[in-house]
Amino acid sequence: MHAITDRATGQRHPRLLRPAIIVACVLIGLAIGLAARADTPPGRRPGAPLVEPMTVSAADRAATRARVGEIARGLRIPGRAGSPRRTFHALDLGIVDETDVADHRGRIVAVIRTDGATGALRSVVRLDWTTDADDPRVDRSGAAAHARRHARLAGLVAPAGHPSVRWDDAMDAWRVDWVRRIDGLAVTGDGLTVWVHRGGQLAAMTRSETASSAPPLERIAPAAAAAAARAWADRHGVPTKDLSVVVDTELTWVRPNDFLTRGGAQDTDLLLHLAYRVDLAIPMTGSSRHRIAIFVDAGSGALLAGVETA
Amino acid sequence: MVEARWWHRLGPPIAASIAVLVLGSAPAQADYQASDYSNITAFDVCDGTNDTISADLKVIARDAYRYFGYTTAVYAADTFTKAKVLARNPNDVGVYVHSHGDFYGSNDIQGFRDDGGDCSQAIVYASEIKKGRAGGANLVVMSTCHLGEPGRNGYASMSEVYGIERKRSDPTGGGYRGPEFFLGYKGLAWTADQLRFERAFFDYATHGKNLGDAFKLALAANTIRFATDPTWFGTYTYSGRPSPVMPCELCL
Repeated sequence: MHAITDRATGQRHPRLLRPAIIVACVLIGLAIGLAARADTPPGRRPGAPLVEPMTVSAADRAATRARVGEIARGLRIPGRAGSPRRTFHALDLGIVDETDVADHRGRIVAVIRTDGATGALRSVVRLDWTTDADDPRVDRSGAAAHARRHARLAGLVAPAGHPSVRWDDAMDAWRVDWVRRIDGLAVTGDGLTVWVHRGGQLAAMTRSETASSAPPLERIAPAAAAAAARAWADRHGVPTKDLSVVVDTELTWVRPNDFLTRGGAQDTDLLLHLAYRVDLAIPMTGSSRHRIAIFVDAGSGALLAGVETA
Repeated sequence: MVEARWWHRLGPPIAASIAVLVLGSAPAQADYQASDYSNITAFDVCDGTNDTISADLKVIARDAYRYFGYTTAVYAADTFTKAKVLARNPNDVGVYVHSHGDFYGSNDIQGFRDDGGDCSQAIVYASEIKKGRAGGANLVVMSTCHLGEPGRNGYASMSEVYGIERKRSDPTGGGYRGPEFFLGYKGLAWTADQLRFERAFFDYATHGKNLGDAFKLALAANTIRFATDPTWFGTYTYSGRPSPVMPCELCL
């Protein structure tokens, strides 16, 4: 068998072995590359991964690090942005970059998530808790002002109006919520939430802002929405004896989902639609009730989305 | 003397790397039992919806508990029965339940429903779990409504019957409570939120974050859209990996 000699060691190798190893490495690399998708995968099928890793180009990586560095400096987080991890979130059809911020000892002090397409801030979580955070300097009445300040330092403008404020013992912080509104109507799931420690420090911040469709020019009556929801319950064999159907007359913006339609895949409609929320309370054995919320398009009367309780 | 070929010399480091990888990813102990229960029927056949969330959560929890090192068995639909839960209860140190949860009966005792494959769905009461336990648990997740709330009428809460008191250590390790963590929800929990939140929680927890950090990161990751309110008790810095638990007053 022909052989080649390793110049460094003088050892002889089979001539065909090195090319074979190179080819194998290329194939393995391709397989890994395919696993980490560079393009946007299509909508999710039931049972498919909810989140998929994506590759980040060098230019995007640099841009995200710079953006995260800017946010961290604004919030006075003492650290440097690392390399972002990019993922595709199948349920939301969105791309998210998540970046650790580490201090000079390499300890992760914060995790910042930004939108992979726009660079917009999605969330900040500080992981550098110290006992100072429990100093009782901020009470309920002062929490909103601190939250507004943290939002401003992160480059966000907290919505006008009074947020709701409550103590969140799981986060060991005041939770300050601004619900996002469009033309005065609440957007289900959108808004700005800031958690502020008793000592005034930022614990975490999350922000969601979904694009919306145009509001319908003509709206159905609330009773029509309730009827549509009841008709759905009838068609799907929901026990209707003692079924409670309550329609919220205040409209809400909501993103469609696949809860009410067979097929299992999350709806690919990315836009908010104006809807009535209809709450169904289904009696179960004993005194408990199972609740389903159905969102009915305020213009067309179509069933847009639904959720249920555990 | 036989000349060593260059690829022969790669043998020991490759073998060592494989050994490290295998040992590192293998269960810490083979005898830490976990049960993963998911109620499929309640959210599909019984309410006419096309639920895929229960099946997704079942798999997410199973993979996480196995990653942590529990010997994990999965029960869903007709295999998730009250009899099965109570039979495995004494040896469970890891428990995951996705089902309906509430305060049941005239005494308002916390409990969750089994599946059983039909819509009659027996209630597993916290008081029944308490009776069957000789010790605490490491990692308990009640993916239900209400079971993160305190017990009523003097009855122990669901976390307490597993030996996990409703207390939390801090992120620096202060107030360490041993290798224990309970995750549950206060009030109504909407399953769409639970899917997003628990996926994120287990993802962070199985990628190097302790359970306290995983909780915070998951909560802030735009996972809650319908006012679901998750909570936790136990040790913030706990990894989730099984290990002997400290005795507790309520569960013994």
